[in-house]
Amino acid sequence: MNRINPNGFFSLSCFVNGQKIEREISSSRSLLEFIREDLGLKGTKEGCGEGECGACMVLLDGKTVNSCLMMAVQIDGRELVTIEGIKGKDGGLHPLQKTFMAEGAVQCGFCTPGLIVASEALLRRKPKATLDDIKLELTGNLCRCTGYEKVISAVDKARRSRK
Amino acid sequence: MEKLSFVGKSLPRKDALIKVTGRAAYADDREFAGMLYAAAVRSPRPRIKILSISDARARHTSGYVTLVTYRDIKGVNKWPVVMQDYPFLPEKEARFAGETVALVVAKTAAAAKAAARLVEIKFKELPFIDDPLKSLEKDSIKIYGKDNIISSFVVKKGAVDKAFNNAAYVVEGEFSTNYQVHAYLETQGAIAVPEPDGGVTVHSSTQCPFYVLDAVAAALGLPYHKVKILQTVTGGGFGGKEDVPALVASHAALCAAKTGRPVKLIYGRKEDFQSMSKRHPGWARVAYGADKNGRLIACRVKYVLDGGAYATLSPIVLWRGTVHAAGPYKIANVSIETYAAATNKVPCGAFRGFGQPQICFAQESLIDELAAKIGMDPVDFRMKNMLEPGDKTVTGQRINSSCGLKELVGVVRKRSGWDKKKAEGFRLKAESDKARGIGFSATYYGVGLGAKGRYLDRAGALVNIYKDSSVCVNVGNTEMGQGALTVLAQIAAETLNAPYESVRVEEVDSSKVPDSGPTVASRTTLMSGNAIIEAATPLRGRIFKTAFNLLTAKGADFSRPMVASKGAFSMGGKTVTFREVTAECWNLRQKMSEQGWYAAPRTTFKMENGQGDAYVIYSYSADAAEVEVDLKTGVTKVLKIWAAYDVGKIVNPRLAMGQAQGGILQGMSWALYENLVYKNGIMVNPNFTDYVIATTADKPEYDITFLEKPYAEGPYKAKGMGEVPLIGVAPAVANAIANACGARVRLVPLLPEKVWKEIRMMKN
Amino acid sequence: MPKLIVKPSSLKELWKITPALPYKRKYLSGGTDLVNISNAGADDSDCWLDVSALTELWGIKETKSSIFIGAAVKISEIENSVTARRWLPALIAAIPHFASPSLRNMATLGGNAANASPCADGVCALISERASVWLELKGKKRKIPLTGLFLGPKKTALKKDELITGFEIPKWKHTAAYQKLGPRSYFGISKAAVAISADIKAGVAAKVSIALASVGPVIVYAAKTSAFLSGKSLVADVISEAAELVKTEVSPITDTRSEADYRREMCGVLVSRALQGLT
Repeated sequence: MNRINPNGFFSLSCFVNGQKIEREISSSRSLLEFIREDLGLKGTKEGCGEGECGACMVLLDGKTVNSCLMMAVQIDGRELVTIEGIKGKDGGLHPLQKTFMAEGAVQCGFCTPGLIVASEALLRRKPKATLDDIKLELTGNLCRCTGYEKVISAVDKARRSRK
Repeated sequence: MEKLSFVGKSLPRKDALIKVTGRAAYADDREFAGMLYAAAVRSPRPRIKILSISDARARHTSGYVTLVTYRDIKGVNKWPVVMQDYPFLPEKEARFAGETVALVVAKTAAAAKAAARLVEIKFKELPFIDDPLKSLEKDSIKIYGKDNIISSFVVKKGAVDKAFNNAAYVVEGEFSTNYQVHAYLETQGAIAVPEPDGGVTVHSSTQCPFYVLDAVAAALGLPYHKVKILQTVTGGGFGGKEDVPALVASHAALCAAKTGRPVKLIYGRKEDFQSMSKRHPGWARVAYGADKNGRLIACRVKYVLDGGAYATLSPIVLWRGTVHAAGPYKIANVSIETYAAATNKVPCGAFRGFGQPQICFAQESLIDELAAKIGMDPVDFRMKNMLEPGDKTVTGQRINSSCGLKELVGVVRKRSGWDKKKAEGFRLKAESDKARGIGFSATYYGVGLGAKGRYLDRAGALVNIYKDSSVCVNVGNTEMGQGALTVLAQIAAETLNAPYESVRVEEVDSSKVPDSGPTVASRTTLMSGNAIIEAATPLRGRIFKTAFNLLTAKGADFSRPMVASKGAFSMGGKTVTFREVTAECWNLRQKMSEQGWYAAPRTTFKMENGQGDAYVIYSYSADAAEVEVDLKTGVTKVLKIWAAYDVGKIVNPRLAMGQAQGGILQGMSWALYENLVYKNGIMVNPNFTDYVIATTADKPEYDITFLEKPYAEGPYKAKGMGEVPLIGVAPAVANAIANACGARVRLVPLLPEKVWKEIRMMKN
Repeated sequence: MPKLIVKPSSLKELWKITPALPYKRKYLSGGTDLVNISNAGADDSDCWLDVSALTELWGIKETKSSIFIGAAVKISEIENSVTARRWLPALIAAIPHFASPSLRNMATLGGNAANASPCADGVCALISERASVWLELKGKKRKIPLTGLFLGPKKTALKKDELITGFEIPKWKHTAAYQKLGPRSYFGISKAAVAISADIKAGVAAKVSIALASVGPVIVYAAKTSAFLSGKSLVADVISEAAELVKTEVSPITDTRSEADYRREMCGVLVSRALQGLT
């Protein structure tokens, strides 16, 4: 069923960080604009607008996507998780957030939400991810500060802590 | 040495929590009521005469508000940075493709961008120059002053021609390096908010809030006390947010002044590539001469930087390159001539290493060639010639005791297994297409701004202890990811003996601290650290005295010394906490707030001959790189980098390690991959698709050692760290490639195409 | 962005609503190319048709003689498909080199083909697998060899409003290799890449098909080299002869990504490595 009215508005229905969201949006709204401007979730960043840097990464039905290259209409009926929805079981910090802090995997921090989101997707899919798995999974998340070493060890430590 | 509670410890980063949860508010994350959005209209061609700018089509865009041109500038249309040659908005001529010519303001960011594309610039194309060497030729068209020279320096010492005539071994080579784009993940951005009194508050992603203050005040014609700059959480800088954020913020401020509304200006990645500063492309011809014993006796350098269309920071970048151009060696006869040449391309400026990496690539590559010619091991050759305490640099500066270069080289030599690996060399297996090799480099780095920037080399701090004992510190240097907020909090906590958790260092507010110069040149720990110590010292006196009195009143045995450690004071079996002591200080109405100031010691350098003390102190590095070269494709993979640094006392080892790893990867990425291409004055690949930087999959293994040679003037004996790890990486990689397969590539990036060509030429 | 994005839920609905929609129109699939172009201000369409809800474009299906991959199937779905792993070794070998993991969760083969880039890793692998492409316009279907879809860089043989619905790959017993030379280890547009599929029996290549990316205006099917190798045993001399031959079948250019002469030589190197990987 096409729910776009002649004025180009779309009644979008989706889950964001576990909450049901129903909004009338312009059909030409990008997913990143929807997240940042309509929902006010500013943890998702725009780094390049071309899918190369990963700062805008979010989880769609548990899989990573670059929200700068999607339109909001494409998430209709689906489940979105942003960095604001990444939490530990107790509602506090997620293990990845803890290990990123403890390992020193954070410098300027602009890539950090995307990296944590990508790492979460990997660990959900591959609870036994190796260091090589981590390296390959994060190739779409550019970080210009850390040299990646501490990022990789933070993900590895979080993986161990999950056991 | 006194036992330290906080300095030297890997304490947690102050800003990590807000960053891992996505709560950190960068420039684009801030919202203000009634805010409008600006977008730049850019020059499409390398050099144009502007005939007219029209918004006739743009104004039909829904949400369009206004067009801002140079006519809207109430202040002076000259950006106050070094040479003052760059107008905030051009009036008659735009000098590079991508230069902001006007700005569009609209109700949404998308509308502003769409309208900006519809603004029509009528122009006449003017002849342009895109090659810095051609720019310097006598009969070139003149685009900058009389001779296209933005800046030029010399270092002259001894009798160079004679020394080369007497040399037993002479090598000479031409080297060049391409641009490097900072690729900070957060693009440039600022928000200007008009204040009721006619002033303006600017939220800016910047390394240098006081440059932003200078520029905004100049553009708006406002006194400084009506302009307030608040640094936002800054998503990376690396030098790229030194000068140009002042231009971005001034543009936002001009739009805010015209509309009377808050205006946000956030750069897209493409325009950030096209118009913001870059590492200069460099070209150098270097010659070294050595005597029959392998002692360096002569060095001649001609070094040219492609400055781009405006001077911006080129003179200072060039000067640092000039001073360091001969490498960290004792050489009696030296002639260094350097030029920053104007071209009609993006103005280049600061980038981690600041004019050193380009020339270091040239001279450290050539040092290997010289060692080979003499038949010496390149590390032995370096050892024989390198600077040690008591030696003089090529500018005649005597190196003091804070110099661990020789030890660094020894450490890297040993840890990398240099002697064994080097001897194996050319490890070609008949059945394999791959060869491994190892390469070395050694560097030095003058900490701080040095003689050329001496007037800016000072910093202030404000330390304020609240009634509840929490401590707020304001400084004039910025956090851009490197960890300044954390390191400076450690220094404040140490000096006050305050618990680390109770100390908060704030992002810069230009109204709270005096102009502290730029956050560059690895100077923040040193300058702001010392300013904090100066501010905290009288507070410390009061706190320690009050603690002693409290302990005595509690009946402590005062024949025993009082020990202050980790936020507590103990003496003769009794203890009081920092909290109790500061509460008592407040009861006694003691002054619990102080300002500090630190100015760098004088330097004696003379620009006429390039002789004298150039910097107050030097940091040092040694690098070894092991590579694997694919002999059929020319592709190089860096397997491991061993590095050792003498940056004085390490305030936070974990953060220092992060700086080292990040600097190494930036250096490696520049050395191998990063290739910004211009064609006919137009940037061809202003994007991360075709300007690639290293990813997780490219990361080498790191082996990093710190040798802490104490610097007496430094805060807790620290020197400077940030830039050091990048500088020596490219030549180490180039030398490793040569060791692996014999291919000597004199161009950075060391692209597979170039390595492959060298290998092919050797075969033929 | 266009003012209007329409999201039909079946092909029937698509053909019904299309005539009334404003033109210029484009199909939106994963968005990794189209939204990118639009973000850069370089898309002038008035309307996009989001095809992600068209169930006809979903799924990987197996028949007696062929495999069908729907145009809207995500690259990462293919990666995890048992059927694809069994029958499409070239495509599977290419996937790790296809953009980044998150882009593979978004991108589709339909989009990869419609974009008609001479660098398309997915298309290159599919051509070596001998794929055909299914197209549909107003309910009328046609099938053409995938090589026939591409007329030049960013130019296809698609008619106005014609939609790629899927790819049909014949089932044939083969092994495959994908060799790519990019600007860094992973995640980059190739300087040159090669996909080779071959049916090898007792060291003899019964059928060989070689496709190359980034060395011509479209993905190059190396017909001569493929024919030369068919029926030969893949010994060193044969391989080096094939590596020489393939260089005559490509027409690389010099651009920001690489240089023509280097690319041509690399075709030989990559072909010889891919062939060695097969034996």
